[in-house]
Amino acid sequence: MERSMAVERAVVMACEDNVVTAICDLPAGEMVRISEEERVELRDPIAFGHKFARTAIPKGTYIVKYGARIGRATSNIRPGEHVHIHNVQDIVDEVRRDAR
Amino acid sequence: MKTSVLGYWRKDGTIGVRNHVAVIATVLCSRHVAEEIARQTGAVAITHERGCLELGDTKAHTELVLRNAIGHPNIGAALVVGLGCEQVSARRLAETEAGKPVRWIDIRATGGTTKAIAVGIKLARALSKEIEGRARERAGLDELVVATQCGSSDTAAGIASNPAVGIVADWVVHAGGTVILGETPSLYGAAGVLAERAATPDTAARILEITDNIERYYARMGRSLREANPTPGNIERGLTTLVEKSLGGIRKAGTTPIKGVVRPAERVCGKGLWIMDTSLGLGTHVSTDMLCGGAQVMLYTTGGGNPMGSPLGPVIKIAATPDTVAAMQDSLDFDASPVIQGTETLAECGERLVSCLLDVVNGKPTKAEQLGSYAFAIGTIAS
Repeated sequence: MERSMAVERAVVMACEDNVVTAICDLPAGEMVRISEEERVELRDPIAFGHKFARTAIPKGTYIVKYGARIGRATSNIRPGEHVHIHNVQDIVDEVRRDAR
Repeated sequence: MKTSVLGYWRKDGTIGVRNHVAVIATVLCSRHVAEEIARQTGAVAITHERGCLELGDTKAHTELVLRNAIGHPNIGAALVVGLGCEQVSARRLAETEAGKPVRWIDIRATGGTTKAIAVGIKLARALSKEIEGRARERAGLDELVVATQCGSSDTAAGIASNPAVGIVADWVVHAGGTVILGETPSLYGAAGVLAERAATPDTAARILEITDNIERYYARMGRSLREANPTPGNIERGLTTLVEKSLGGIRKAGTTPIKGVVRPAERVCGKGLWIMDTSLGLGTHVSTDMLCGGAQVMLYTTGGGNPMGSPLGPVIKIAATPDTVAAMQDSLDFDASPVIQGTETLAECGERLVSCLLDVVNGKPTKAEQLGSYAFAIGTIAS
């Protein structure tokens, strides 16, 4: 997860993540560089600290950050779309049940 | 990198990184007298709203907090101030062997507020004379007990400040020291991940149990922890779920195995990474419990910016959000925003934070210490 010294505008916490976190305010339409070969075009404006989809995330599948599931998509989320409480539900009960 | 620190050896074998006289109120009713004595003598005041009309685990916890505050390695001497009729007796606290000078007064027996302040000032000055001029002595890094906490969490804390603290936590553990992770409600969504890191099956079970206790407490009121967590502030700053918040929070604890779980304010006696169940405690309750657990210093990450220190020891305030760093310069000790701005790697930031920690341990005052911005509070226990 170590980032390079190059100035990035968004950060992926683990390689298996399907969301990216903005580390500055980003306007809709911006083409954000994720890595040398990966780019995502933003469909929504993304504020500092907020997340957008790195890939298409189908309804009912997990949102993955830090290499771990953090929630479940409540609608089909397209790449570059804002990922937050309007399209994600918490999975805290599921995670705790699986821990036993 | 340094291999030792300078501190004050205590009779119980711990090392203090500060050498304060503390004036400790046993109960809310003796708060004014204790604060006045401290104000006029340069002692630190330890006051709170507890000490009477308490039941069960909460009552026992209050007494444990006050006993461990007196016994804290950063406290060189203590004056305990009671009213005279409260549950937590000043005399009982002061007569518990602490290996350091401890005196006590009751306001009623001393003849009222004015007389108690006058007598207390004399006692506090005498205590100060007894411990002043003590020199710091060399101690190994394995004597360090470092508490970790976060407040006003945001995404930048999860990306930069907390992982930087995690690097320091691993460094302290590898040097033979102790690190404490707490804030039970915030661990809730990561209990499974933490249980997998437990050194023993018993510890794994305890991690799940302490987080279950919180949920059970709210369930008895027909409520859920999830109603209040993540907070509106967390959500505004981009945290979507409790699981996400928890996963960001536990990055403070680094990557080493979890050795065990202790009760709120219980002294941590082992080395390595420990979890303290801070129960329902929030903010200052948690800082108080963790420092009472024997931590000489706390690493406190704050997204939005929190200015509060503790009379028990230095609290290093760390922020990574550029706006917070700009707005709260007089209250923050460490700027992790270069990681967010891409001008520093996490490893470099962690190394810089180790230096900052060692400077503070060796005597450099934190911003809260410079400002005298101290808070002390005792929480409620879910039982």
